[in-house]
Amino acid sequence: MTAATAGPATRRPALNRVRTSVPAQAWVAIGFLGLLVLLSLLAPVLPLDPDTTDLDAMSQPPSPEHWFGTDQLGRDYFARVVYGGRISLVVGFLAMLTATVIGALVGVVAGFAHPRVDGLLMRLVDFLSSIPWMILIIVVSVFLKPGLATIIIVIGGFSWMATARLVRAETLSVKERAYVGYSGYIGERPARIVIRHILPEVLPTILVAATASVSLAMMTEASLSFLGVGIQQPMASWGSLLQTAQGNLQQLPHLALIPGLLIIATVLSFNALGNALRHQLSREA
Amino acid sequence: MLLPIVTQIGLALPLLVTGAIITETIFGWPGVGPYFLTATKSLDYPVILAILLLSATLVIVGNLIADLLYVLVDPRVRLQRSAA
Repeated sequence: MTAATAGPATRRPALNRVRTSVPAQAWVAIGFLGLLVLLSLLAPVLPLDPDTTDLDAMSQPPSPEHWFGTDQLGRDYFARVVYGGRISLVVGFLAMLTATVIGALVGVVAGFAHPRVDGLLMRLVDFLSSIPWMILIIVVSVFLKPGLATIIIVIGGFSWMATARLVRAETLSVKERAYVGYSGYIGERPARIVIRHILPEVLPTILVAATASVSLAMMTEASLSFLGVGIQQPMASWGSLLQTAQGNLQQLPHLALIPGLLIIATVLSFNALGNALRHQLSREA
Repeated sequence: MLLPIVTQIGLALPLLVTGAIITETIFGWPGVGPYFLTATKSLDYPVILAILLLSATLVIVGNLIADLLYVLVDPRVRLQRSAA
């Protein structure tokens, strides 16, 4: 797509790339995330043991036998980081799925249905958004017994509001298009209109919101596990690894640096992915 | 242009008190954050209730201040005086 066919200059960035339409950072992001997902899937098959303590080899720095060193109890840190990545990714992905499904449903219904229903649903969104989020999540996860399922439900259940607002705005604008009106006139049932006409138009917005949701979910999971109300010790997750690393930050910086940098890299990758998706999808619109 | 800023100021009021949970935990500062965390973990209900009430009040007060500031900041915004 050359500059001549690009249309209004506002849609394309200043770099007039002729062939490459996906920015390089998106490829780096995809590569990194692919590696992470591959390691997470293969983790049970690889010879990694995150839970066996070896009291002869406590608090070792990185070495050839222990690639990331060992933690204070002698557990191999590479194994803990890989298994922690598994849990963190699973939580991030499932929480995103929950939040996106709820948010998309609420958004489409609010955008498409009667204005009274819209008003009611948006009041619900406002109500949930006005409660301080961290406090709400901490309280609910403590009262629901901290654990993997709890944290997924809690994060997913309290992060859908932004997606709902976005999807509702998109739905409201798509609803005004001619073919949606005509579908109603020829007698298509509302459910069919939503599924066949509105959802395909709204899907790009949902996808971009989903990538942002994964980033948010992973950061929240790390925060909650770090504070001790998420994934509990001794289950590894990047947040709980950060919690154990907190005690010996001066002597053993690698215990905190490695999960911390991995969290940063993963969140950045998902954000870059979301940017690239939005870039791609806005071109075709 | 000032309207979104005023909105954020109103929303930031509760965050002043409850927004630094992680920072205070890491640095060991005795703030509302760690107090609330220890209270939730040990199920200290009066403290939990008090902090939730405090943060809910701050949310409402923050929104009220933001609404009042709207009138000051943008002369076109009028406070509604009658149902008309």
